[in-house]
Amino acid sequence: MKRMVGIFVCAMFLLCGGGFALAADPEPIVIGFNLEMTGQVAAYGQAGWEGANLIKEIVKPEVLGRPVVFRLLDNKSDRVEAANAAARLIEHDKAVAIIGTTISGNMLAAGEVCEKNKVPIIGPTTTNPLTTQGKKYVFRACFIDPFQARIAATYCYRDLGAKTAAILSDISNDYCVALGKFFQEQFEALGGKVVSVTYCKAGDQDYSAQLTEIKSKNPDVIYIPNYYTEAALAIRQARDLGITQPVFGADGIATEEFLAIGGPAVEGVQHTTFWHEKAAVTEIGKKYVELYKQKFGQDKEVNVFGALTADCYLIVMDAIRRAGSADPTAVAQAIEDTENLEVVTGPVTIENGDAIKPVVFRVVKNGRWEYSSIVYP
Amino acid sequence: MSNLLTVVSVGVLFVFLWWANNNLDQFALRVMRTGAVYIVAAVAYNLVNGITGQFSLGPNGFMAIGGYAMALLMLPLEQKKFVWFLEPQMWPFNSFSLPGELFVVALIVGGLLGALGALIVGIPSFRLRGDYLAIATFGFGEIIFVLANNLIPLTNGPLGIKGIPEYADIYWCFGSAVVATLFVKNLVNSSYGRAMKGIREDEIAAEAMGVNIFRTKMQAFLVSGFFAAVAGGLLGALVTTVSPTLFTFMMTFNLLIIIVLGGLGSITGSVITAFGFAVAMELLRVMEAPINIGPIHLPGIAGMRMVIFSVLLIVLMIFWRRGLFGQWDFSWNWLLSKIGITSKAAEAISPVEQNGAPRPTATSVRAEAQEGGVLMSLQNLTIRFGGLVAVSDFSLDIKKGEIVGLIGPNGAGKTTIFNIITGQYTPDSGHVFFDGSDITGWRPDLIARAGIARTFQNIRLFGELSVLDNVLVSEHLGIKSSLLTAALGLPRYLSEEREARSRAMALLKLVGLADLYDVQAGALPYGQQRQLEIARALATHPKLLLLDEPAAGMNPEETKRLMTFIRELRDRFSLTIFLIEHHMEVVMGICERIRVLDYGVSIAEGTPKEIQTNPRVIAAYLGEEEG
Repeated sequence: MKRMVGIFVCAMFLLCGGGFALAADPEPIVIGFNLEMTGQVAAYGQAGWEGANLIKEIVKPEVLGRPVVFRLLDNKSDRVEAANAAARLIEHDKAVAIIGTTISGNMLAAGEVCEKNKVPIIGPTTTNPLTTQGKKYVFRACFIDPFQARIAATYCYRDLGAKTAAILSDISNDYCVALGKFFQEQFEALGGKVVSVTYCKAGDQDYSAQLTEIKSKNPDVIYIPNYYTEAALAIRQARDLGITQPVFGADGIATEEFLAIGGPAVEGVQHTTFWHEKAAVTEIGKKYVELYKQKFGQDKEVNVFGALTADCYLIVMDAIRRAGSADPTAVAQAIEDTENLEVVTGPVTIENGDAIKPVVFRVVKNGRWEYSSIVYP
Repeated sequence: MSNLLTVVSVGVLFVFLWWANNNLDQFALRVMRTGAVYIVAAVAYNLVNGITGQFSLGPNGFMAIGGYAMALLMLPLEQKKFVWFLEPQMWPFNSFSLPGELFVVALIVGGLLGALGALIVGIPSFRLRGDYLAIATFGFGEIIFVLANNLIPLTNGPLGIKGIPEYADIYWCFGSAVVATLFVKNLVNSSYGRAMKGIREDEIAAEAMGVNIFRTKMQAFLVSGFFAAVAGGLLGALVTTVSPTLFTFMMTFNLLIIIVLGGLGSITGSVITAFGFAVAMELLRVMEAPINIGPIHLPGIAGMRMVIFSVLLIVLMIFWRRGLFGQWDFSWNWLLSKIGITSKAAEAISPVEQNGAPRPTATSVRAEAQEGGVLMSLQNLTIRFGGLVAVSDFSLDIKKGEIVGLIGPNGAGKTTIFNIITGQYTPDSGHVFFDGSDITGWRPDLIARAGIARTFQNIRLFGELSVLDNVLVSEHLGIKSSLLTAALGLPRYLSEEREARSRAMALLKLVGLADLYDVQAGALPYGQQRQLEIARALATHPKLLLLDEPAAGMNPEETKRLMTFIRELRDRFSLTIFLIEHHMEVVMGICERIRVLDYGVSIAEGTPKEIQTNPRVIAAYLGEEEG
């Protein structure tokens, strides 16, 4: 029996070894992808990979007369793996640039490896401000958390005329806590007052304790920067308790599930997000939406993670072209010099590694996400 | 010899590392470093889960403590200002940072804090028996997570800390792995380690042999917490960032896979699988790349390596149910005997050659016995289990040097009385006086230390341990060297260990098991297991020996030998013996005084002759005549 196991294991390994076949193209330029294909946030990585393969059909993977090949490594949504994958892409695959990771925690680890090896890495949705801070080779294709939250706070104070606000954030998610803090900072800087800060935890079912406290403080607006399930449940229970004030969310609720769980209770909820297909202002953006609908069906809303990963591809391709070489250092410099480049989600300029991009506001109307406005930085 | 070989092989390892550092690419080095960090964490974890047999789910919490401590101490000052931009960092961490040469200090400080965390979790959990530890340690990990998310001035909250210089180079990682492995391995092979294994095998028996359960578990847990935190510090300095999500429960889960796969209780297994885990995860990546076999093109499937890994894991668990190495551990002696340099026998028999520690001679014992003071006095013991009165108002004095028998039908409460004497049960009323002190309600290990040893009716040996180690567990109560002295193998401990070994071998010789010293106790035939239980009890240096049905399952020939043996024991070790027995031949043959118990009540006492003719005894055993 043990011998059979041995044979089985050997066969497996032979199979892997046999699979090592080199691509026939001469001197391709390798773009590495370091994505969360499995693990906790697998949905982000998969959507990103989908977007990258879609945009490849619009903008051919060829630059400087050389073919461009993608090399995808899964990082299991794990930080140690993200750093290992970055090292592997650089050492083994000689990647000119790396696209990914989708979450900030992984970028903190992978970014360090890239910085050390002077190979540019660009995260589609890494919103934590620390990822690019002080780095020459780490970039992002999205706005940062403080920006999103500040825009939301400004909107609440100026446009909604709110003078007091309550914040309910999810303590178990770094992203939610950080957004809550940035919102509070900006709202108070403008002259408003945050009258209540309460916390919940991912997986909570009952929010009555937090909501009772919020109700007693009677704020003008409630900011709930949590992921979709927790946010939808909290809003439903708030409406049941007779809390009628406007609710504001962040990009974490941009899902169909939010609408399904929230039902009529989330009608009128607004949020900030990276993009909406109706906000497709660029030529390439329109093409992308068209191709997406053609592939996945007219009803399916274009995934934001995919669109931002497509942006990364466009930014990198443009940078290689302008650099005139596939030297990673030159490419990194060219990425930093990106100005008003037309990508899927709008025109983008990169400054100190961060993308300067508009924030899109959306509102729930008749059980659907509707585009409401766009705020340029 | 072994020490020399260890030093040489560590030297060879570091020469290899030096070569690797200069010749291998960064990616390979990174994978190796990750493997080394896993070794530290897995070895530490196995000490609690595998060696001591306590189910902890806490390494991620301890690793987080170590990671944050390292980050706070090592992060350069200008970087600290950058990172804490939301809220200023708290004093004193905002005013200093250690230079790179002091990385080791940061690791040790982290380790000590990890041990402190272990102390805080351990105190309440180890006071209770059962699975509380798993719950408490799991909760601990969650609490650390919440604290790390919220103590922004200390931890920078959810944003995490970045820009830690990459101090965890290949030498630090492997240096720590070597230190952790050697320390834990030495500890496991020492008297402390045997006590831990004793707890894993049979907590009640270990306690009855004088092992302080609480303290021993705590020792394992503290050492484990220390090294887990060191691993956390290394990990932080390897990935250059620390944040709450680095130390989630997934980390514990991976470590659990590693130690179960390697074999719970095998340090060798933990080391090999920890390193193998890190390497295999990267090697298996080829499974996710697009594959071309001739004309067939298979697109890469993300997550494929996890599928294969899971399949391998399942296959391994089916065919090697106890992990790759079970509880086996590598030792130089094993290797040397395999390649025929030294014979195994030569190494081991040597302690037998020495004579046991001096014992009082038979004549002096006799003299003492004749003095005949009362050694143990049981006064009005009563114990109830629910509504059932198991023992009622039981009193008995046993004089020094006596052999007293306790008989009675099944369920009369005999073993319950033994359990009260040895502290397993606390009586509802009544007292146990032993050698001048009231020991009622003492912990079993303290009672064992006071000089009462026992055997069990249903044999409770440490089945997975060798015959010699079974006896050595009892010798643990005599060890005076500290855990550190033992784990570092300092001369003071080594001489104690040598003495304990020679005493244990002498006892094994006495019961006729000296030749079988390295056999697994569980593999012995029944009769020899009973003999070993007696040897193990004697190794606690008792004044009073409680034998619970020593002749059970023996044939007449063996029974006769047992009787002679018990008498010899009494004379040779100046013992007092209190025994429960059903074999009337034994009871009548060796007991000087017999007490008869029925339904928890004493019904008769006297010499064998008196008992044999007592009508109440006959009635209790044969049933009363009708009418």
